[in-house]
Amino acid sequence: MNLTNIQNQFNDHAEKYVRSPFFSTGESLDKMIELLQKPKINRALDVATGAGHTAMRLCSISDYVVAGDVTVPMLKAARELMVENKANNVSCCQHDAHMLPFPKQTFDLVTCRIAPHHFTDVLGFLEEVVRVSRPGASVGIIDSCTPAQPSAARYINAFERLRDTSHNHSYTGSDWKSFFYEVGLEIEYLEHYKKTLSFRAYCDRKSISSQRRTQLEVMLFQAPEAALKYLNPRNINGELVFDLQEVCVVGRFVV
Amino acid sequence: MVSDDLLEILRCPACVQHAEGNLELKQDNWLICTEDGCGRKYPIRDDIPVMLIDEGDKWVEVSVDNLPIAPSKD
Repeated sequence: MNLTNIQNQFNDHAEKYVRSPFFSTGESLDKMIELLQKPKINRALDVATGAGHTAMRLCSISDYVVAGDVTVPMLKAARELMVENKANNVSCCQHDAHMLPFPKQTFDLVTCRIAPHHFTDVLGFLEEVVRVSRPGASVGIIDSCTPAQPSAARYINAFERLRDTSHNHSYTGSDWKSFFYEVGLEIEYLEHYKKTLSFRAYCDRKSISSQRRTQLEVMLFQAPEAALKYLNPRNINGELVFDLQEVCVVGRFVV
Repeated sequence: MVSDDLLEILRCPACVQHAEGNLELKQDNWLICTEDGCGRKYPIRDDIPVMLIDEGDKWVEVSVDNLPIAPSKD
């Protein structure tokens, strides 16, 4: 994982992620939390916690939560969010998602939301998740995804990378199914969720140049047919909006 | 102050891949890997443990006695 690139992309924008509805709420997040609830969860880990929205939700279903991220300003933003919400059963830790600083079989629950598309080795990350999971532990992943058609998937990844150079690759739901299977996670739920984004807010989160905004807008409207159908750019009340999709996968570590 | 709950489960991210990777807390703001031949030292900054291997590598040659009291970013 190019840690420096990710840190550079997020260091200056932590506060925007705290306030962003795209990150703070979501139908997929609600569903994942609902599916992950169990009568007793001792320890949970939220990898790449960002501004801490998922970790904060875990605080209500787990006795203790570790919120980890590679970027310190994001962790500090997450910590402020926890304090504001009086969540006192959580600790913050700076770490790399591919090299988790925990012994094997430590957690009953591991989550990672809207982050794996930054990782350079998603399978390696999931192997680490499995290593630190107790037998029977639940794993919940939400991430941006791409359509099955390879050329459309390439186009959408290029579009995302043009806005954010730390974007590595968004996978398809089918890819995630294979990843879970490969590391020994039994899938209990896999669903796609459409999200409609304001183009302005999408660009503002990264403070990109006006030239780059124009390039992205051109890419939106001149996308090849399959990608255009997926992105569906349109004006609503004078505002340019478009669609992206997330995949939510919940599985269990079965020995 | 890092919570005891977190200190209990933190390990050296490099050594835990193949060994225990236990850490020892020093001066309340350093976590020292106790594995033979490792020598990585992880700072705690603003109560956040910095558990990055690159960070641990920076302090390998620095003896525990010479570690700064309040770890700087560099």
